Amino acid sequence: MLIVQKMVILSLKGGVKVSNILHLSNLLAHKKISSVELTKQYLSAIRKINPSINAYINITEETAIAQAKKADDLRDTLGGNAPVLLGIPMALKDNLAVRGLNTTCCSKALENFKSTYTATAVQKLFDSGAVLLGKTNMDEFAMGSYTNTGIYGATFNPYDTTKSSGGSSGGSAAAVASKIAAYTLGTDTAGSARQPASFCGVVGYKPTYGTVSRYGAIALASSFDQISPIANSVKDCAIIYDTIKGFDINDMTTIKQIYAPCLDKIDGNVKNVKIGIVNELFENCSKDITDSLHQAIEMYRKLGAEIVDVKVPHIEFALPVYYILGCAEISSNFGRYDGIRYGYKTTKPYKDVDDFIAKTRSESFGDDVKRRIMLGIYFLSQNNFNEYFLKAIQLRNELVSDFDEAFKQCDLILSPTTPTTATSFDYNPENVVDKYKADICVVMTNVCGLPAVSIPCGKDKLGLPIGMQLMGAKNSDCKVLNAAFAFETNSDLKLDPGLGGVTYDI
Amino acid sequence: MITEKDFENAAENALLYFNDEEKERFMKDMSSVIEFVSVVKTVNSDKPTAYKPLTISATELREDVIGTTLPNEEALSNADSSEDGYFVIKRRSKGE
Repeated sequence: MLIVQKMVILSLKGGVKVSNILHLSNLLAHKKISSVELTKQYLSAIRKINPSINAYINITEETAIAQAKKADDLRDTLGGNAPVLLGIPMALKDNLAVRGLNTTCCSKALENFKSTYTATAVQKLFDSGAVLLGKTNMDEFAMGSYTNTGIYGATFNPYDTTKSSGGSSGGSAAAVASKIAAYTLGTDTAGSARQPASFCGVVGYKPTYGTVSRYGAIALASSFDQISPIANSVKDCAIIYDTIKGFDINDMTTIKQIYAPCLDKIDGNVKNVKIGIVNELFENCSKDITDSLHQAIEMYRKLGAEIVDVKVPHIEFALPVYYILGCAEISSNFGRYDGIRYGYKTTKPYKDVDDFIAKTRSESFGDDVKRRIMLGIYFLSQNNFNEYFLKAIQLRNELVSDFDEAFKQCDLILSPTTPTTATSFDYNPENVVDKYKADICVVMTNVCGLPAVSIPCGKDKLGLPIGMQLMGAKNSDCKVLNAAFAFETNSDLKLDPGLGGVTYDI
Repeated sequence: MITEKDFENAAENALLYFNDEEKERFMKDMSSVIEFVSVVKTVNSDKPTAYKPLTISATELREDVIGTTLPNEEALSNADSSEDGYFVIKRRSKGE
């Protein structure tokens, strides 16, 4: 779906510097700047800023300039019918395949792997004229919440480089926050786009499962994975979503449906919209976060929304269900890494094929990957299958029913995205489960296939961004984005890490 | 708590090697996770044990239509070694 320039409606306040798609697209449309010039500005900003945050692990300068030149030529031909994304520079998480480019998942296992095809969602962006600046950092195979388990080192938070950018799409979120990419695609299996978006003060949007093809997104846990836009505004996320969604013959979990553009439905009107509050999701949050969320709730009330309490009876099981089923899917998906057809292979002597594969895998996977594969095999083993795996499937179905019921009482559910703002890198609890528990607010939407967006809603005492999450029923993506836009457009919140990325005055 | 036998069985099926230090560390971490998720065992549910599909088309099959496939040369392009259009691996059977 091509979202054309004539649909652009600027709704930005005056006197601020912005780096969002709509504004950049207007500048390009009015020939205030060419795509090549804009791309060069971004590349220059990347060279200046990236060494301090490590958001990019591969800068595709040649590709970017070639695509930008092509975009400028195409704009001359298309004029006012040019797609909004034509000539806008962006970046991709390094688990998204682009033909001819390395796709490493930040793992030794795929360090030299070159994709032989392009992911469907990425191809749709390219077809709309996107300019690829590079690939962004992530946790190894997207397993982690701090972007510090990959082979290229950690991504540092643009607001405080002693803090984490979140993860696993930390490089993508940090690049957008630092204004060294206009937007990025991340992936979200258990909050991996929303949580770093929250930590970095940008918008992270996980669409309804099945609306965006996963073809070319290297699989983690297939029934949870979702390609997810990360951008500087809600409308930017809507533009990206409108561009990448749709049925794909190469991903049979995509929904056969024709979608109207969400961007057309975003007017910020939340009058009579029922916003649900699940009290359990506010437990263990810092005071700064709770206060910010309560202010947001008050704003929604003033805008005419109705706030209601809702229950999700099986909420306590969401994380256990994810870790059982997610690990089970990982253990199956990761059987493909054998070092024979692609990827790292051991250089040590081996006695047979199994020994070769075991040495290859043991040398190339990090601890998080090994742990989840091992857990998946444990849960799927004959002795544990019934009491863990089947029980988790039943509880997943219970949670789906819970949310079906909840969304009969409300249109959306509002919660914090994370119980804390960006954490320090030395946060390393004794018990590995304590790290997992921070995903409580974000994991449910992946368990149930629901859409959810994280938008910045405040700052803590240290000036670190606070994220608010809005979840909706299946296929209510436009409603979710509209409510997020209502907050964004009525909020006075101004966030800027001040690193000197690419911005333009309104 | 995962037993040593269960750990070794899982490692064998996962095709992963662990030295003693790793084994101790992984057993501790895995035990924490298993303890955390064990809450699912306590629940009685009458929901199906077959996964309720998140989408409708996931249950459908594609038509058998010959399409464009990856050229052989490209399919082999990431392999460390290939011969006559095939991946080269060490013989699995014990004979010869």
